[in-house]
Amino acid sequence: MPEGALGVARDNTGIAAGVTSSPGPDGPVWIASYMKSGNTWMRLMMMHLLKPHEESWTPDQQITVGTGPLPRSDIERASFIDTSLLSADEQDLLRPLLCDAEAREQPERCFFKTHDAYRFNRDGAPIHGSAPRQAALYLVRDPRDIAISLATFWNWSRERTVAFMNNPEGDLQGIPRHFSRQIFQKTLDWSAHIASWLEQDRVPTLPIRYEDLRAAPGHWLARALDFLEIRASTAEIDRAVQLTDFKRLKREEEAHGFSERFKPEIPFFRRGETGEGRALLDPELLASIERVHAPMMARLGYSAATGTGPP
Amino acid sequence: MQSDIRLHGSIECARSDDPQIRILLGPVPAALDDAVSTGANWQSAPPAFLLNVPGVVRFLVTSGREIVVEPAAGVSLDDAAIFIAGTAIAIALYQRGALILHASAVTHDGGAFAFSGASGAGKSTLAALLCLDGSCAMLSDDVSAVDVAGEHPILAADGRRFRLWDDVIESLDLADHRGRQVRSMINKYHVELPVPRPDTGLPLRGIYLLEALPAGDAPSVELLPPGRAAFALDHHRYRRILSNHIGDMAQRFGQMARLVDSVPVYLFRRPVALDDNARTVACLKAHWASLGTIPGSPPA
Repeated sequence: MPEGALGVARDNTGIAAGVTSSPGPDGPVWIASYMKSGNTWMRLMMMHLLKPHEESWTPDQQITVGTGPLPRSDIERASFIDTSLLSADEQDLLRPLLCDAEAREQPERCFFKTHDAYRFNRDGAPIHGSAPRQAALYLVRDPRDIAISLATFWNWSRERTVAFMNNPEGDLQGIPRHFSRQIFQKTLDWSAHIASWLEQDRVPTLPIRYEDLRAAPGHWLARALDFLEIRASTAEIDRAVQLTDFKRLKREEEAHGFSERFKPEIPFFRRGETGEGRALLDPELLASIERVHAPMMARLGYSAATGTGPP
Repeated sequence: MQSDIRLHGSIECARSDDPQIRILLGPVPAALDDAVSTGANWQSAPPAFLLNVPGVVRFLVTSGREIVVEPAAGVSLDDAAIFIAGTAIAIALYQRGALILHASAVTHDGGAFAFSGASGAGKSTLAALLCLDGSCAMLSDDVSAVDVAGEHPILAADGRRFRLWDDVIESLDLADHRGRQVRSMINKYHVELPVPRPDTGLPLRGIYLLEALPAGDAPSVELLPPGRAAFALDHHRYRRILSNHIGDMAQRFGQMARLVDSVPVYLFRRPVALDDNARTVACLKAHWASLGTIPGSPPA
């Protein structure tokens, strides 16, 4: 992408928007995104950079960077509460306590994954906690490609998936009828999710477009590390990029499975391509996404295919 | 146990003048001055342990004998009760030196069989399936205390009804036995199955660690060697880290060693799809039939 295309949003690198705040070297790092936007890929890159001894890692094993505190099992281990018995509102009260305790107690810098919007609980506390010197890498992806990928991942119809992405009240596991491995997360709609992260001013945030990461993974990984004030050599970055090459991950998943599959029979690493949504979505769905998300798509440099969205 | 608070789902028993654990309403401090360890929502200051369920209830458990409960403003006791029946009582039991497995258990042929796994592994569902099959009675749900002091480990009856999610109740056709909601807003219910239930503990004859397989796969039972069994079981203690903060490490190792020395531990892999339930139950019954009398355990 051209430098500055994200500058309409807050670019905490300071390059585009003149922001000079630094996250500092030791606060928790959030790898944040809407679903199917490259979050897992970034976590894997960080894992291979920060834990080079994980070279023998295969996708059937847990990713060891950017895990908790959101999986229910982790929360139960730390809080001694059966969180499936908590309402969404009550889970939101617990989460800042967990995030802050984890950041306080871990001897190393914490990396957390989140698909949650940046938001506050009923007591006014940010659900991602108030630990000092937090920072976030926020991954964005063309919503039309997300629709294709997410529909496959959840085994939903494309119509249902697009309706979910357009729903301003979107959430994961509001009031479930069954046990869920993940706790309550409010995703809002695609545009509002992005706005919640890029327009908040508590956690310095570096936006990264999935499409740019695909095109130049080494460059964007280096920018992310620079933003987080993590030193890494070119050789180390190249190595992390090589170990997380999409074809390699797909091949390894075929051989070993993947620990984060939503449904055991549906592969996680599918195609990872860009531009798929424009080609595969029905015209009505394409138009629906482009109509609802026109301002945010324009802001992020995703051009419209149907004439109903941004130019 | 004697409680000022109605613990829905619990089975009432005769009143005792000297209950081992008392549950009472009262003020609970927000923090303990002399805490030796502190987590996100809890503090340990032996012999006291404070736990906060934010927005719901706070309780202080002391010496394995007393649980003081203070619900959050505007929260009904009914909505707080399930956390007392689970974590608070487990804290008291750990303070008393108990070994507790995260397991549901059934009785079969005079012995107890426990199914252990993380939340959502299907412990309660499997136990309910076996009871409905007619070959078992329910002994405990989710929290299984094991007494390893005697000649053979005894799994205690927990005096509680099943708690099942709405979709499980529907899939097992148990709507007629659905009791009240475990909590308002939560689609999990107390369920009274139409099967007898023992009110005393029984010799533990097997522990099955549950693992899910894709739909349609064949279920299998694998006996774990003692070292692997002890390691795996240690991770299936109920609220394992909680017990680490309360109990004595040497005592825990001793209990686990006695347990795996006397009770076989199996890895039970089975598909969790509804259509596979009959095969899962048949697999277990065939396994039990093959067991006969286990060396070192009392005859079934």
